[in-house]
Amino acid sequence: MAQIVAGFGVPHTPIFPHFVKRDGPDCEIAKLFGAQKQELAATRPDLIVMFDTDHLNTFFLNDLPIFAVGIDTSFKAPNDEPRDVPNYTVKSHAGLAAHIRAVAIGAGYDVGMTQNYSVDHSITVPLHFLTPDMHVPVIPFFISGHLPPLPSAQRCHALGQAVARAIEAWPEPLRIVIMGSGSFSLEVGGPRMAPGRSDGVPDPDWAARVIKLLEQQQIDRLIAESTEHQMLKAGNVGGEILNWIAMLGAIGDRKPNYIAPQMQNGHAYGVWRWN
Amino acid sequence: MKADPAEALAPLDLTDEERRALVAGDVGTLFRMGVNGFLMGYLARFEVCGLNVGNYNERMRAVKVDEIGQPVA
Repeated sequence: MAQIVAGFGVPHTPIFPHFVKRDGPDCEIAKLFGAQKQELAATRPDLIVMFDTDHLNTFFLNDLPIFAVGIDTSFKAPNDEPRDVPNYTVKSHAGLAAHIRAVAIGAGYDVGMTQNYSVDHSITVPLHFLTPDMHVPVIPFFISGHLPPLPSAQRCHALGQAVARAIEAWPEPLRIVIMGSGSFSLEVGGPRMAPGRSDGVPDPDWAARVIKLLEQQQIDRLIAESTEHQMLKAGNVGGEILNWIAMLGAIGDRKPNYIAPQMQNGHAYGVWRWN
Repeated sequence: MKADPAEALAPLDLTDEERRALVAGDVGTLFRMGVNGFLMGYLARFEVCGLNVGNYNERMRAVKVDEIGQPVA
């Protein structure tokens, strides 16, 4: 049977590949992703399920699901031209993706689907750093975290639990890593940008609070405090924390190996390993 | 869009005010009208409608917003 062997929380800042190319392997970003890359390799993953929020690239305002799964044998990445990111073809697993969707629908989640699709930087940038040869298949699970009304944190956590049940019922002996992609506090292109920049961190106290709750394994508290008001207060992409919360639902109640904050960006790098 | 925004936008179903604001790079007005700020950031990234990171930032930051980022009068 398939088993979940680790959980990862990752940022996806689209300019990071350019910064690492410019600043070299000793820069902070390269080291933080490098540490996660080593941890990921040690889990010997056969597949990654990544909870992610699309930035109106895979989906748009005329066709915007709250939840959706990518169901195909592969997908193209990226579709939004982040600097210094090559064009990748990423393998996927259509059978397991369809099974996850079916189990989630059975659990009461009306999950959409997309086929013959591409993904944006929010999936591609973490993979660019963590699995640059794209040898590990990936199933994207999209959660609408940018445009209110947002799904609730409680519901996303329970969705993660349903995804875990689906994986544990899959007959192939796959070692599966769950990832949650995104920031805790970030405004992109909106009025709460920092001076002279294209983004900003409107609520650094919230980002610090999230990191503290993750470190202390207070997931129920994190879910209770991740209200829609708080997520929107944290920035126009503050709902990306829902991807981390879904990941936490899938991996169960566990203590992280580490949470490495990058407070100037309102995000962190997290690893949960037990197998 | 880069060479002649007005011509590029001509076929689109926009009001006169929306069209004027977009061609002028008046992103503050567009945001107050309900345009998604994240989405408008692409205008600065690709430097169309006279926008760049600097003036886009100044115009958007001039919009007064409430605690959850919605424009206020």
